Amino acid sequence: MKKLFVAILIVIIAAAAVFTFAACNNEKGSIKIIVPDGAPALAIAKMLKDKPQFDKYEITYEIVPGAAEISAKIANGEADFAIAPTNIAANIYNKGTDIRIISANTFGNLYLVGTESVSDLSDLKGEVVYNIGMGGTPDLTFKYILNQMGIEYFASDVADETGAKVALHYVSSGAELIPLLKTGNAKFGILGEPAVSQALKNVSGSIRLFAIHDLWADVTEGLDYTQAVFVGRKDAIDKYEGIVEWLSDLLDENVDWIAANPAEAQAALADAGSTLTVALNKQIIRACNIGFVPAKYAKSDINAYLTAMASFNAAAIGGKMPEDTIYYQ
Amino acid sequence: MNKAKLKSIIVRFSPLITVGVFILIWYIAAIAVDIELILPRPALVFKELLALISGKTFWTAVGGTLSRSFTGFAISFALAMILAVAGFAIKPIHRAFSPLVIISRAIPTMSVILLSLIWLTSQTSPILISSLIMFPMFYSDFYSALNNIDKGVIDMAKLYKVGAKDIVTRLYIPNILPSVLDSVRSGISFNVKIVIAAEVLAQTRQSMGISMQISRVMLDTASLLAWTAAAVAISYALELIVELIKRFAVKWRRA
Amino acid sequence: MKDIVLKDVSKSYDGLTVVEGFNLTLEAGKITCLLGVSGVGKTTILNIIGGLAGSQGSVSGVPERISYIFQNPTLLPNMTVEGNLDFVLRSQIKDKEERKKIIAEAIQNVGLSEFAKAYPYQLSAGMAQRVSMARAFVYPSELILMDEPFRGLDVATKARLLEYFLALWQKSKKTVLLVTHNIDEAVLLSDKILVLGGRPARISAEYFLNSDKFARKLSDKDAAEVFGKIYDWFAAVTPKS
Repeated sequence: MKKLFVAILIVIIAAAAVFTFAACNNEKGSIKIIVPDGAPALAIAKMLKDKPQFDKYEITYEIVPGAAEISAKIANGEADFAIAPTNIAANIYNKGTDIRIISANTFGNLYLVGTESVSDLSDLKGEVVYNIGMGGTPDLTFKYILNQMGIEYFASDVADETGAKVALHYVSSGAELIPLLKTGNAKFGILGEPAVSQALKNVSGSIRLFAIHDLWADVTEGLDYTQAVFVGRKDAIDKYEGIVEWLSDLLDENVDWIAANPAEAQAALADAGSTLTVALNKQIIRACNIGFVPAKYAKSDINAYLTAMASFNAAAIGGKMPEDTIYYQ
Repeated sequence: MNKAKLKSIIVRFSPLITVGVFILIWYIAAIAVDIELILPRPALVFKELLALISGKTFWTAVGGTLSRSFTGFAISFALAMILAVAGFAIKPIHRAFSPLVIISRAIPTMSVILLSLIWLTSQTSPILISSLIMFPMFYSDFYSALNNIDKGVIDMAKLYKVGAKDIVTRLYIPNILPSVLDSVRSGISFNVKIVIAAEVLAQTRQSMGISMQISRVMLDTASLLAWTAAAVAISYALELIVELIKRFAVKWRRA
Repeated sequence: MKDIVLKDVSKSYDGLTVVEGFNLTLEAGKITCLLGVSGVGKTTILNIIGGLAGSQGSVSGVPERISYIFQNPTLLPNMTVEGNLDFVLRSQIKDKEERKKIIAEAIQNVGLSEFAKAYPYQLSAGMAQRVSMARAFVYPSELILMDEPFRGLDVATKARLLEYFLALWQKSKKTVLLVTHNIDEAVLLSDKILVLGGRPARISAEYFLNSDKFARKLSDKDAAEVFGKIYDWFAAVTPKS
């Protein structure tokens, strides 16, 4: 009997520990804005540098390693605002975190590069195209484009001998793909800026063949490729009155600022802990395609993007299309 | 029901009770955190698991991972056995190969994974990785097993001029079998773990690893946990099979 | 069966001369005992006879097949009692039925019929040694070399083992060399006892026992006398510290 009592006590203590752990995450005095490392971080570069404060509230701006951290921190309340991949935004909304999409901020930094020239996407039939992350949004986007253009594809690291289909092969990071292009193991690959410029510099004879967002526009009759959005937790939006408008202004002016001050933008990112090693210049910044479109204008483009992703795997956006309430009015 | 009988029943079912408590803590924690993305409730994960099992992609992935695991296992087993026997029979061989064994044991798993991605394809690199990780473990175990055979018995067999075939099949093999099977049992489930880790990084098609990775990318924590549960169940099943083989093949020891 | 003769045998290990100009005769069909303290060299002589160690001098009459009984029963742990005997007989007697018969009889001779299908882990030390003895006798050899086979066993167990040994020996009367430091075994089993002493080792005394081994008791007049003489010799020789 005594042992049973001890066992129950342990369970209660363990549960209590978990409760406190969960609870303490939600107590903090300041507002936190996070952004994934890489091109999306450019969307708040000037804010990373200036660290503007809102009213009497302290705001911390932070670069986090990837989308996983973004979703976890927004979901558990550690962060209040973030730049997030669009499908991730829909995903966490559908999984129960009440957030609002405030604006669309990146419009496509994916490019298909190759060591051989092709004039048309259908020339890739009978070739192998490398992509990063099986099942991820670059993969689904490219598949969507191929589908819309009636080009067949299949998963393989060996090209289709009959020349009827495109072979799709995957690696887990851009850092892996560049050496493969260099050795000739890969002839074509999809990369994101600024890794694209790095590849073009290091791999002799490589060229930028297609911009994925241009292909997207081709098959969607001119829609924007709304790759990442700026989101905020509903409770933060309600608590800090006026913050959305304030942040929107900052995001807007950031777009021109980074275009004019690439070196300062790079310094701002580096100071905030970014691991980007590529030297940014005006062309690269332009190719990163940072912009600002308020939610109500970006709505139909975002919806089209989400629908396309969901057509392959509804889990990518969290099971279903989010209701309109996700868009900040 | 008297106290002693109650106690013996509790003891018999104690493993199940532990699992039950574990799930209970999980449940409480999930409710406390209350964010599906971070910690889904056990019921949801279980539902996901059922959905997975009834789909074809699950079995293709499991089949892929298992076949890679077995291939890697077979390669490292064969290599380790050949070298262990050679090293036992000819001591200089054992000494000559020991630096290789040490290196392969000391290499960080991640290094092996990353290096093999450079040299091999996404479908074959998990096999190399599992072989490389398993080899030093098997080699040490097999070599020890051979060394632990009572030398007096080996001498006796030679003194009584027993035929070489009989010495191998009736002396050496049965006497290293228990150790070998123990080694295989722990190696096999460890092997599956490593192969899955490699598959994640190698983006291996039709694998449990890539399925887990995709679940993660889709923020589908429930699915990720379901895949994890499946991996655990498979490892456990494999260990059980080896244990049964051992019980069947080795009758001459105290149980 | 021939006598086994060592003539003028010498052997050194690492500069240490174990035996020099050593002479020894093992009479065919008789039990000879080499008795001496630990380290005197009796195992070395046994090894020389068995061909396990080289030496200078002549060693003749050693048969092709030799049985061994050591302190360690050296049974295969993965085989039953029957299996252990079968293990050494397989290459000598090809007919399976004949083998089975011989094995069953040998097991009976050491009183282990009930344990025929038991594994070594189920046997006591004395029982394991009985199997080892049965194996030595069942093997078609003409010489049995025993190196301290009864060491570490209590008196009762040893007494029974000696009985079983003699029961086995009676059926085949092979030439036996018993190497030991225990005087009781020597007196109860042997036809001839050679007491070994000194460095290099030499035979310091020879005792013959003609009484019927099966009826022999330590309390018999001649047995007791030999026992006493040997004991006193050792007590006198051993340095008093």
